[in-house]
Amino acid sequence: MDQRELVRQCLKGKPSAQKALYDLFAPDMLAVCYRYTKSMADAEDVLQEGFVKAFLALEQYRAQGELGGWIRRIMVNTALNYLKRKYPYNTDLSFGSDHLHPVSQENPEVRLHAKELADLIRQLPTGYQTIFNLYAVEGFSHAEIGTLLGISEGTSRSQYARARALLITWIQRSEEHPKTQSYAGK
Amino acid sequence: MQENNFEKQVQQKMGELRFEPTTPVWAAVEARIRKKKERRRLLFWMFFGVLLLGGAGAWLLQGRPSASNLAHTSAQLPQTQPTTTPGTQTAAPATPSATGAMSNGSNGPADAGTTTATKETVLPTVATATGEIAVARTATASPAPATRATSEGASKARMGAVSPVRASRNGRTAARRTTGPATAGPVPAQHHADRPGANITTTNTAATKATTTTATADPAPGTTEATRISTAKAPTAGVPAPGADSTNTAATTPQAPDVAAAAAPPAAPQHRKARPFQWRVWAGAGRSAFTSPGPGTKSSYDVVQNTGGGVGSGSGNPPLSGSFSYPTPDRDPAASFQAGVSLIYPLSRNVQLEASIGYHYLSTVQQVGAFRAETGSATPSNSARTYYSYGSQTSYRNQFHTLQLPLQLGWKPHPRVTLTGGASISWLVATNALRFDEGNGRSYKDDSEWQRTGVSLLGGARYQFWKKGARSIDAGPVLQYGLSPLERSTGKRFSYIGLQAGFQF
Repeated sequence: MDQRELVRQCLKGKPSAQKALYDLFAPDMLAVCYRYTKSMADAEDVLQEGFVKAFLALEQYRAQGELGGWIRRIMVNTALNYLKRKYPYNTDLSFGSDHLHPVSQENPEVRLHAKELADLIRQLPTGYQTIFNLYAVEGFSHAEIGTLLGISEGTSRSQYARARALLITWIQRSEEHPKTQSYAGK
Repeated sequence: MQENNFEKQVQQKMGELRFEPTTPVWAAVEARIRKKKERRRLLFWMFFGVLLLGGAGAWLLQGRPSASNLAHTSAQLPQTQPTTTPGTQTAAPATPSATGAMSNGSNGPADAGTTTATKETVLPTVATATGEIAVARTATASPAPATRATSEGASKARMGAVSPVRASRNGRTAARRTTGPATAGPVPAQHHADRPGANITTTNTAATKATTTTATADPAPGTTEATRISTAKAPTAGVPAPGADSTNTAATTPQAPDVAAAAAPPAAPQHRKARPFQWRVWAGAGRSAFTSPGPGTKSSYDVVQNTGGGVGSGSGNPPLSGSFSYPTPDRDPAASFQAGVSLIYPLSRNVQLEASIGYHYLSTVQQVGAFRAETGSATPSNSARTYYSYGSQTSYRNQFHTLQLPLQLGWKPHPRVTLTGGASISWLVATNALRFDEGNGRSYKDDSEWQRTGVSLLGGARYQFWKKGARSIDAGPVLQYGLSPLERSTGKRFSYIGLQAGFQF
């Protein structure tokens, strides 16, 4: 079924269309949620909340852009809100400490599988993880990330640089020692 | 390009990532969607039910001639107790008849033998040949106890006033958890001739005639947007360009959280029909005024002045000839404000239905004379009646507190412009407004004068000057004109003009 037709049917409240839309996008969206959270259970929580929001706001979707991108955006925002709720006072989400990790300008080739790479990203401190996902994967600019997270553009930039360096180190180690599972003391 | 290689690889790898969610997730999503939609539907129908009930109630109340209104009116009228002085007695009209029948009765001395205590009473104002108003303060002689009868009942009759989830994220573990004028004619007080001073020959014809109460019941007066989907940046869509910030800013500027941020600029109309309703909270201020329904309303000054001599103060006034009626004081437009909440339900792409509930404060300002309290000397238990004499000593603000249920249709000739029009049922919750008696120039409170329920026409335009996702702020002019009279005796209705601002979400 054409996506527009699918949306139309969903707006009419047809459960079958809603299920079809869910089946179409849920796997990709769960992967998005997975990258922003620390566990699959958390990821599924975000997925559930994100889809409820998407279905209830479906009439706001304009057929100008890709439906998947629209839902993805909802998932990302839901994930960010989820993190803010879950770690309200957790320094893990504090983006002010930029003294821990060196900056790397390397551009190593990534031979890891997607799942392995995602697992490494998830092992980053939550703040690093969030900024890395927003910048490297979603493609937000640092200015946009600053607005989203309530931090300065410079903080986003420096935090990203450190997250990147840390991740590269882990990737290199992981490729050298494939059996090593965790690098963040978790 | 070299330095973005890592990000490109990460993006590509993450684009390949897929996980199959467990079954309970969909069950929970489905349950939550259904629950929220049912709640919305319930709220919508509840609101319409209230509107219908309100409308039906208003219609019924307006269509019912109420005998109690008569009693209420008569009880409310400022009645002049006959007062006597050793030399003269001035009897003022007991009822605020249309012409006032300002007949002065001069009487012989009161029965001195039975006259006992005296009480200073404010006499009704008397019009002189020059139109001056005078207030006579005289010592009144109470009749003998045996002759003391009261205008009982009348003052006591009173009509009762119209009474007026988001599902917890833990849901995953659970569900995946899962209102007629009844006083058309003269509204006489049930004054009996045997009221205090009955043994005194009185020429107070108005008072004696007043026993014939006619109650003519009038028939009820008609009675998000640009799916800021940042598709180019989505991993599924291909290659984002980390570092190419400046080129991507516009397309991916993050907005408010969640859905609103993902809304797209208005474009494709085909999904609008099923759009659920939105809320709109609004408030406004302006000016309200009394307007006449057309020619023929009374604000007359059809005076046949007398050729009187000394005037007003007490004794020996020559009778006024002809009929006299005081000019109705002007009620100037005054401040008004309103606030409420609307449920906006799109009927089509450009047309929407707006059902609202709101509070509307209306007021007018008029000039009144001195505040006076008249104490009935007849009955000890008689409560004091208060009124304002004719004059322009102070400004009095007539205030009306109404509850309104507007139902309007909105048309959007432009995405940012909405023209609205409709009708509103209103219910007068409380008022302190003064009724004016042309006969004696008094202004006094009389709840029975005001129509409790009414219907008015509404219209307006608003311009949406801020919009973010589904939320928007708008402002524009609003007009309201009462279709049904508010003031029963004159048939005057309210009009309102003002500015209104609203927040839609």
